[in-house]
Amino acid sequence: MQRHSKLCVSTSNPMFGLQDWANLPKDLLQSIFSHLGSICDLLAFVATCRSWRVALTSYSSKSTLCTLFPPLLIQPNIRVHVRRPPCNNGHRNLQAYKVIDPAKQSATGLHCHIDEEILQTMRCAGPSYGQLIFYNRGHCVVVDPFRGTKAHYVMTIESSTGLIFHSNKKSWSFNN
Amino acid sequence: MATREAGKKMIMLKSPDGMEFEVEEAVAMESQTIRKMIEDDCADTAILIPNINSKILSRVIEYCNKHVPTTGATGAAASDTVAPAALAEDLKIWDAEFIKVNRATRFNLIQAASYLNIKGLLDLTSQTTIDTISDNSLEEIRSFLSTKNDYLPEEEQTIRRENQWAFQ
Repeated sequence: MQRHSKLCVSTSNPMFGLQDWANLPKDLLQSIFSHLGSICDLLAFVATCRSWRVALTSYSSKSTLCTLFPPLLIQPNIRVHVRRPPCNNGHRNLQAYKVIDPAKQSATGLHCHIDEEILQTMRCAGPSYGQLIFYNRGHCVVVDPFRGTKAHYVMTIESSTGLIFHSNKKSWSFNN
Repeated sequence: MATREAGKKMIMLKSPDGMEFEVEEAVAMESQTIRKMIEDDCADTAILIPNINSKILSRVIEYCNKHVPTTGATGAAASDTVAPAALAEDLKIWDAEFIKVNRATRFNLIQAASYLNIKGLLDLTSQTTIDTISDNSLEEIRSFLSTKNDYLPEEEQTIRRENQWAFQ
């Protein structure tokens, strides 16, 4: 008996041909990166090729990505010996410290660079977009521990405008 | 509980290279794409699955056969007689064996899973891809996935510099 097939689906997605993982459809890439389990995996994913990076950044904003995984933990009491980052702008006492990724404990070589003097003399107010904010008596330093860079600010409080941060180029004010 | 022993409805799936696979409707409906065609009354005799060759289609059917919620002869769902946790563990082991395939097959499977919209298979193939990325160096990942490095040399340098803290 001859069978009749009814063609119900589009043929616009040819599957035969080169295996080009870089050019997988966007929705398929989204399915793949919805399985990312840690910041380390995320970095490896976007480093693989440009189209993967584009797919991920068009799908999630930086602030969303920040909330997907548990934060990295810096261990300021454990120093490691690695090559200094190339852009150690003005750091005299740049020191490498061990970093832990709670979502991927098998990643053992993680580290960051922070000026030892900052760690010893200032208090850490918290992280923001991968940078750490340190302060001490109206003086504020924003540190990028992964690049080993920092930016200095002077903090003042004015009754009319609230909190003001000054760098040598710009000022920002925050009203509580 | 009603049984469906008397005449399980069968569906014919055809691959573009001319092979035909007769599968239970319930198995075929693991694919949301096929489910929609059946529900839209678009699948009276046979369904041609374009773009998925017979080798891959047979693997996909094998997956769906294993994962379709089974109904025993007594009408009791299998999960009533076997502990769900043990069943899930059994499936996990089966999945791990199933996905031990070469790069080309895995590439075709992930596309087939996406195209046919089979969530479990898409999850499995996606997770396997992430595991590949997770456990290897950038060179190994690119070589395994046969992806061309399409970053400009200066971009590549920036990425490597910025990721140095994680991949040194």
